[in-house]
Amino acid sequence: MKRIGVFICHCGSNIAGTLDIDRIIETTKTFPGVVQAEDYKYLCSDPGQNLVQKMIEAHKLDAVVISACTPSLHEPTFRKAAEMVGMNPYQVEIANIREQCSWVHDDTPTATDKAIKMIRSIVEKVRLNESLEPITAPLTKKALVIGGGISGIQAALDIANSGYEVIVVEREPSIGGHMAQLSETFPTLDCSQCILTPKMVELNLHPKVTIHTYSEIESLGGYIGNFKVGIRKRAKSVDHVRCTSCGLCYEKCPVKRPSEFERGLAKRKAIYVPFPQAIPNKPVIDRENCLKFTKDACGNCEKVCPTTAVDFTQQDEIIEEEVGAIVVASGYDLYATAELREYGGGKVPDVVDGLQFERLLSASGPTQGEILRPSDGKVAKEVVFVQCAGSRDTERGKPYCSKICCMYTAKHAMLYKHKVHDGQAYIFYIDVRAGGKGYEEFYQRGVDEDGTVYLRGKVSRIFQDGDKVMVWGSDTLTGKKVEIAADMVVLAPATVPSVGTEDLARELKIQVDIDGFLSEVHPKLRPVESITTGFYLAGAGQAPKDIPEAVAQAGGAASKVVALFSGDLVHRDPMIVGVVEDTCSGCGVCVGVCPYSARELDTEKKKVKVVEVLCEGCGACGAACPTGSAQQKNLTDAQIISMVGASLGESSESPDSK
Amino acid sequence: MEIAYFPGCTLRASAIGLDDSVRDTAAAFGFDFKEVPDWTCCGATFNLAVDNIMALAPPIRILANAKTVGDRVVTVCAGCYNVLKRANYTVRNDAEKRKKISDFIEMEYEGDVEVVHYIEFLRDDVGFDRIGKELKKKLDQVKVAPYYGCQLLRPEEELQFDDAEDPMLMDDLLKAMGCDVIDFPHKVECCGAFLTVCTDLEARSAAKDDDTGGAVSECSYTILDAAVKRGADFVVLSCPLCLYNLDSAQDAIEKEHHGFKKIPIIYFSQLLAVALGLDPKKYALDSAHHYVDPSGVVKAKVLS
Repeated sequence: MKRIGVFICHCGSNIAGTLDIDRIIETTKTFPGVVQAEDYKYLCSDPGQNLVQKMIEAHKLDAVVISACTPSLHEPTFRKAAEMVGMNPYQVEIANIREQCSWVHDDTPTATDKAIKMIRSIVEKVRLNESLEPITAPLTKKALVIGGGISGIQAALDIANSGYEVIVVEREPSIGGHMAQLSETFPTLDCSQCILTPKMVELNLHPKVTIHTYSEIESLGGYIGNFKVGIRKRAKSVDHVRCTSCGLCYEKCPVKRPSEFERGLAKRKAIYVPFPQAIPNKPVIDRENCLKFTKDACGNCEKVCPTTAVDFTQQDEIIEEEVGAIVVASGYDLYATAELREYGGGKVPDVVDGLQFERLLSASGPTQGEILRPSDGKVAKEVVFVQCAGSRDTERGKPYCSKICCMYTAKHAMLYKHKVHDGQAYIFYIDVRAGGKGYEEFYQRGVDEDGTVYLRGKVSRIFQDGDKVMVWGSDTLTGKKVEIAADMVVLAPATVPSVGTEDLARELKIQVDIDGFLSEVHPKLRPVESITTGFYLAGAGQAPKDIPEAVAQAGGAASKVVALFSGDLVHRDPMIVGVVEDTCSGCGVCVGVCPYSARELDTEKKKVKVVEVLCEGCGACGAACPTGSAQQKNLTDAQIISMVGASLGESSESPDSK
Repeated sequence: MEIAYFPGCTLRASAIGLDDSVRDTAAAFGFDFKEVPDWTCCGATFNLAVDNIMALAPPIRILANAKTVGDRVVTVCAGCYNVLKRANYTVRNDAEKRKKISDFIEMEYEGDVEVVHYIEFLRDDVGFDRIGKELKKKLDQVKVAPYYGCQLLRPEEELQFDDAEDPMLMDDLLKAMGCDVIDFPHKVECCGAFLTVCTDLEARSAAKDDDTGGAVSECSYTILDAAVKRGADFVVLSCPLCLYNLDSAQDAIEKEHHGFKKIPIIYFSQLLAVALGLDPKKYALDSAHHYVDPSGVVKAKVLS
């Protein structure tokens, strides 16, 4: 019989505060095969791991059950510790008596009963565990970065500067993302263009970097180290090799559409470069609005192009690339203000959102940096800023704090005052959250030097009243209703994952959280890795964050990629689903259900075989197989049945494996 | 086709014009409203005390009686709609309360009657398009301020009538009727509600913040003034309490706010009845039923 050791972690008082450790130890010792049971205050610490190692050696243990926190946190820790003293790491299993027991119960006797059953079931499991070796596969040392905003740019540069090739895929006609739209950046007020555009240029000129703009992810297959990605390069209708960026085409284009880059505050043509500093600085044709495509008319751009670069016949092109790691930097958007009906969003022309105000502030924006309101182009003398427009609102908006708005609104009010000296800025706020280096000082400066008036309370209604925008709110510090007849209102809408994040995540088979942001493995200890291995997260697609944080996370994601590329092989979890050849009838049901194309039918032998490196161990085939021939390693039917038995309090009847 | 109709107590007294116009317009569209048998007062306000479930007995009894007629009950008073719909929501979501009340009123009721506001009925059963086609009077010279108040809308999750912050349903009906509907930002502002019964009319004319009566006339003033300044001929609504507050407060407001111009307050269904060519004299559009007599404006703008 296998010699099994059980170790109980107190996790400070996280576990020991609820569970009766002594009773667990006593009872565990009576389980068949358990030769040793020990407890320790912090089992994951160095002395804790030493204890496990010493016991393995002293009692010649064959297997170990760690009763502690979730395996997603410390399974690798203890498997590594065991391996160092010669135990096969797959003989170590975790009983999660913290998240699944002590944290969710408060009655000590019954919670302790449950913990004992949980440990018992893991003891039953480990008894039948096989010793496994990781599956290794070669590694393509080339990275894919999805998204060409500041996070994607930074991640790509960091990886490329470490000597690896990078492919950047950007949906828009230019890289740069939202940062390219910003005027000046808090807390230092350096101009966004001045710090971003050099990075855009560096990325564009980098010999290790290939940029695909106006492109999207079409398909993805493979696994960490060996992804196969299909990229749809949308037809730009302009041959970028021939194009000299002369600009004649968009001068002569008669179509005017609201510019996405200017957030509708200015027009662009149907053939256009989104902004003067765009990379690539060459136009694309918006086919939905081009007269050539909608009415087979016009064709001006083609006629005037001196290098015959305009090509109406261009088709979307799908290219295949092989990469070893993928950084997802898909970014954010602002919650649509039209959803905020009580704030006049989409109805009152002089109610704008934070990014629109950035464009008004920008020296290269539609008003050359003058604060002119959209309705009549007059200078706005009184401006009301509304924070938490849709954030921190469980009933009508998003429950979370969008994090960047307190600081950008403080900046907006300050920059406004710098431009309109006799103007007045009011900010409605719930709390001013100015956590960050130099942030509190920045906010105070706005109050002290620029006379920003902060009103603590929510706004109830915003509406057009003659040529004014009426704002009703409350000032909870004085307990009074406040009514401001403003010239203009700037909403700070909730930041949300960029449009299409959900579809992208589905295509990549990575996880998103309840609000649609990309999920990280662990919020504190593994914040830049996706739960699916091989994917790394950067920027505001993972959670609302400002530029410094986005850049830092991008650097973190890049260093993870570089660390992966520093080895020559990838190691895959061997807990795959095999085939019991004796009972496999060759029906092929499992081949159809496998989402990873890991199973193939050998028509001659009438048996299924598994391409081990492709198997993710999801278990879909195991559920589908009519003869029980698709058995997951270390999670076989026999193991599950004996675990269920242990959970129900039955005595062990399962046969010993070794 | 018989459809249960619950008028409620106010509609048989001060809001008789609302009751008559609802019944007659429904009939004009070919619908047969049958009064809920043996009906009582709905309770007038929804009981907010968690433990006082006996206050739920009247509305649930009304719903149980409505079930003998059909699976829907139409009502029009915003207060009744609020009480019936919330009581129904409670029955549907709280099995314990459901059982207690069923035992008490000795009637089985599972929450299976739909509570429908008459505007919803006009939208879903009659159709706004059809209404537009069957009008006998042109209303394009009639400028209206649609006013919803609170009882139709809140709490949003339980009532599901329309967006509680920016409702459009009555706007849409009035537009279908051909009215010139103003963009009315005050459409959900509080009219003062039951504060009006705290004190008498004299006290209300004091119009001071520290006096509840004053609060009612100040609330009403804000709403009415906004409607007048936007050029409205009428404020249109479906709540008898709102109508009372907005209508009766105008003398006091006139004294307090110089230059205030009075504006008649009418029910949407009164306007609909007149527009359908029914006899305007039948629907209490007169000084006997209004503090601010709407008949002059009706004559000038609707009947001319």
